[in-house]
Amino acid sequence: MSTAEERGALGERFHDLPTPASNPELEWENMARRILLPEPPEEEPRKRRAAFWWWFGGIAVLLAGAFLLWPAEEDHNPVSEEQPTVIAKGATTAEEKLIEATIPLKNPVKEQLPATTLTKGIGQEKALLQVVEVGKTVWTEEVSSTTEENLAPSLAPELAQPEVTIDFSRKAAVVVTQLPGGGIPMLDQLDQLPEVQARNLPFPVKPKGEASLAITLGGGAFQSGYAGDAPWLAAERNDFSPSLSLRYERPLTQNWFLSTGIDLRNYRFRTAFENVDPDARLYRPGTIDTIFRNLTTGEERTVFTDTVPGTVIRRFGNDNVVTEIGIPLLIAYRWASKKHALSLAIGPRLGLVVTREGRSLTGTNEVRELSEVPQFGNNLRWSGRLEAVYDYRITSSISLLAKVGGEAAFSNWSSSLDLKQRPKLVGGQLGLRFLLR
Amino acid sequence: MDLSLVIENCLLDDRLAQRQLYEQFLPYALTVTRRYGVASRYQADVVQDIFTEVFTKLATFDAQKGQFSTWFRTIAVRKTVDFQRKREKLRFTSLVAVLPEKSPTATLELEAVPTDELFVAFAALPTGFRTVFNLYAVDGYRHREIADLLGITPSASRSQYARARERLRHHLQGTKKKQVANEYR
Repeated sequence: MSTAEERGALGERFHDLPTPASNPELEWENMARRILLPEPPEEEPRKRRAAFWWWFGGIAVLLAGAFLLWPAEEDHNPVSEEQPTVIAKGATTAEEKLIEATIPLKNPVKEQLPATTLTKGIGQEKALLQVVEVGKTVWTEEVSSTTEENLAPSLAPELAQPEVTIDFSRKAAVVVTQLPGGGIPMLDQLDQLPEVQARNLPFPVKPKGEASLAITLGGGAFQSGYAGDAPWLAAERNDFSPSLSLRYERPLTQNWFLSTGIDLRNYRFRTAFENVDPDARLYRPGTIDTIFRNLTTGEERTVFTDTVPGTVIRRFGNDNVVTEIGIPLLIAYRWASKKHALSLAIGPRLGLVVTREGRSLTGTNEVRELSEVPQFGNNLRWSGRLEAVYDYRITSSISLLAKVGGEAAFSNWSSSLDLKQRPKLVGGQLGLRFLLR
Repeated sequence: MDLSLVIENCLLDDRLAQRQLYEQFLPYALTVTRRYGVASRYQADVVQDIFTEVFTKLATFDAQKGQFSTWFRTIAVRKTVDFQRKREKLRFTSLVAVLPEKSPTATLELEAVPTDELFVAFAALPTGFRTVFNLYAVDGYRHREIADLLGITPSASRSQYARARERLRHHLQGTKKKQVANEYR
């Protein structure tokens, strides 16, 4: 018979076969409900899962939004525009020669004021200004050449170098202004000082870095990280896992940054499930193992098998995809020149699994959907991330960036206590950074 | 039982008629699922798919164009193949290159082989081979139609069929030798 003649030749052989053994699931009473009133299969749990992820996604977006909209710096002036108030003045007697004063400052002066005395004098004619550290003992200096003439003779020697002890609860600017009548205050005249306007401080405030928004695209090699009591499970091949990142960086100082955002990542890998069976039974002539008897026709059929110890059986392989949204929170340090910048960042990353597609195997060799097995079962995944980023500034506000990074899971990705899964990832991304001004 | 009357009543949502139709064609649906190697634990799912489609599209059946059994078989085969494609996606692709392509020189004599043994021989085939063999040799699809159904090329269908029949022939020859050896033991 030629192959053309074989087309459909066996069609009649399979008509009118006897009904196989009864299966309760196939009874009409059970099947009618499934056929005539088909229930939406697992629709409710799917909706709940979707709602769960929308809820998490919403929280993440709110957090990111709040972080983005948080005022990084209202004004580069470290002192509030509001009139600072001298809320405490210490002893003003010449004998004690101690002054305690605190000027409350609204803005985060502690971040911008240097640790030591920086500068003095808005102008020789106007004031003496010192910025001091908490508890720092400093020496004031004369303000103008007319100082000595205006001093009370009894205080002149002391005022030449009066000792001022600042007992602040925090760093602050101490401003000693000119008295209304001219000259600088003497120690016993300090309570006559007007409230000072302490803005526009002339000392050079070290500028902060610039906030930025970066979008990058790339991918990496993913190692699925099976360990422990799972010899029957192995990742056969790791495909390129693409990822898309939106990252916001907020300056803490000139060089230190806080980096966060959202990553969308597809883990692609192929699993092969192997089993070394010490007592594998294979079809092989020579040994009668089982005789099957057809109860309808009475026909008997013999199956020949033989035991082949130590046989490696590859069960099957399957292409899997796990989609994940991640939120990293990294602390970064950046070295920058005019055109180039290099930064290193480290911190945790929280991954939220959105979908799992594919098939896997349980310890009892049962093939199941990836979404139902313990592997990749945990939806929340903590990992540690380390990355290096190179920036090349192409315009004043846009730079090209290249990023390489690595990740290692902190937590077990498997929901099974027996199966340990701690994946690792190495990858790179390219993209653009937009400086926010 | 007049099948056309049963179908007519089914269209009127008569539960008794629906049951009659189901019970009459269930054995055939199960035969199709067995031929295509659907695991017994999934048979109910495939049967559900088949009869859901049958009852949904029953109004489109035109007795003038052909027999109901032919129409039913088309649905059963397509639903079973769809199911297998979803569950056994890997085997369709990965096992294509297992055997070198050979021209089908030896004849395939299946008339004398008991049907039950044919089921066993089908079960021994990889899913891809089994599907193509069933579609061509049992269900009478052309290679072009198989290619459309499985998303492969007609030449790949021909190649898989040639390999499948070669495997089947070897398997049946092996079984025959074993039986002869047993008789003389």
